[in-house]
Amino acid sequence: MRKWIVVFLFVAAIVGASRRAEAAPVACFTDFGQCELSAASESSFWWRTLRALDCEINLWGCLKEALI
Amino acid sequence: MRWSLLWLVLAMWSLGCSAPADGPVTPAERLWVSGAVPPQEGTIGRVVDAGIVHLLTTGHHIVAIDLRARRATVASLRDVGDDEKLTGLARAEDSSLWTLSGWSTLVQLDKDGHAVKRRALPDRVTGLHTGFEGLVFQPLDFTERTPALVTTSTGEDRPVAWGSLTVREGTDRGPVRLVQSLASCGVPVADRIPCWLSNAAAVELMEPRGESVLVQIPELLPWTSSDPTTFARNPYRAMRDVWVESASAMWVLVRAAASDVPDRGGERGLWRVDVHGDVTGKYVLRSRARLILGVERGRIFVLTAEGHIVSEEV
Repeated sequence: MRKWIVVFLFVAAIVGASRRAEAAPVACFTDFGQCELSAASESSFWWRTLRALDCEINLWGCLKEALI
Repeated sequence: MRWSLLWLVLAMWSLGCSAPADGPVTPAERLWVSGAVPPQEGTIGRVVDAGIVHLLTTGHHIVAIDLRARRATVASLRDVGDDEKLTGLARAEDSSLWTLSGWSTLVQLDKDGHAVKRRALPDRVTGLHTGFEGLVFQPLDFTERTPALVTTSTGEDRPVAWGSLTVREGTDRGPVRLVQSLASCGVPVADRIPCWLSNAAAVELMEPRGESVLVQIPELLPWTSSDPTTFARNPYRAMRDVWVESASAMWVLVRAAASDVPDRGGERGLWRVDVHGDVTGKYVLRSRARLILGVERGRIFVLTAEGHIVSEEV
């Protein structure tokens, strides 16, 4: 019984890791959306512009990491 | 009765012999160097110096591969922070070795992996490659139709466009267009440096003095994506790697079939392509390959997903 629990946990860990890897690029866009919302809340035009550019650069960094 | 049987056997044998061999060939594979690169470490840069292939890995190692001696040695980078994100490995005109840290810091490495100098670049860049006359950069610039590659000499001169590759046009967000336009470049062979974009079916062969030839590969078009949004949610390189064999041919590492899901570990399709863009040979490798490390007559060396170096008889 203990042996089967160990096998189950091992398989679950592998499946979980591969799902996390597949979800990474999608997570880039989720984080970008939140960043954009935060940038849009800036009262100054220039800060909004700079923050928006930062959001795009962060999105780029995330996508580049995901690029196979 | 006996003659009828004999004719039947001869007819079946000749049918089998005359039927054309369809599809790619699987070449004989031979283990060349075991465990050269840890499989969990990605390769982020490559230079070839005096026949030795140097790879920079995400684990902050430089792996020096001597294919003739069938040996790989590993050196850890020194004076580089564990959390530093490095991109590319390139040799400057004075033979110094450089990598890019973050978006705008060039780091010079000595042959033992020590970071000996750091230089701030005036503009953000997102790629670093070896050119003929100096370092080659990909600017961090989302503007459509801007040059994907620019060159300067150790980051001091004003950069100028290198080749004709540009950031893709379109109404998508900048990063979505740029991820389709991330440039990769191979090593110089026969006075040619191959460069290509992530979601494109063409290789630009750079020549000294700024000349270049753009080789379109129509047969590779199904391997690219026509939907920028879908591509950005699962980005990949249509051509995983390119290695110039001679002035008239190159080898391209691709997915074995257009319908295959891109695999971070490596791909099994190996094509020989001439300068007209015609595919003159197709192979399906036994092992998934991450990089091409060398080409000899009748043999190609690749780095496998498991981190071994194998030779493929082609």
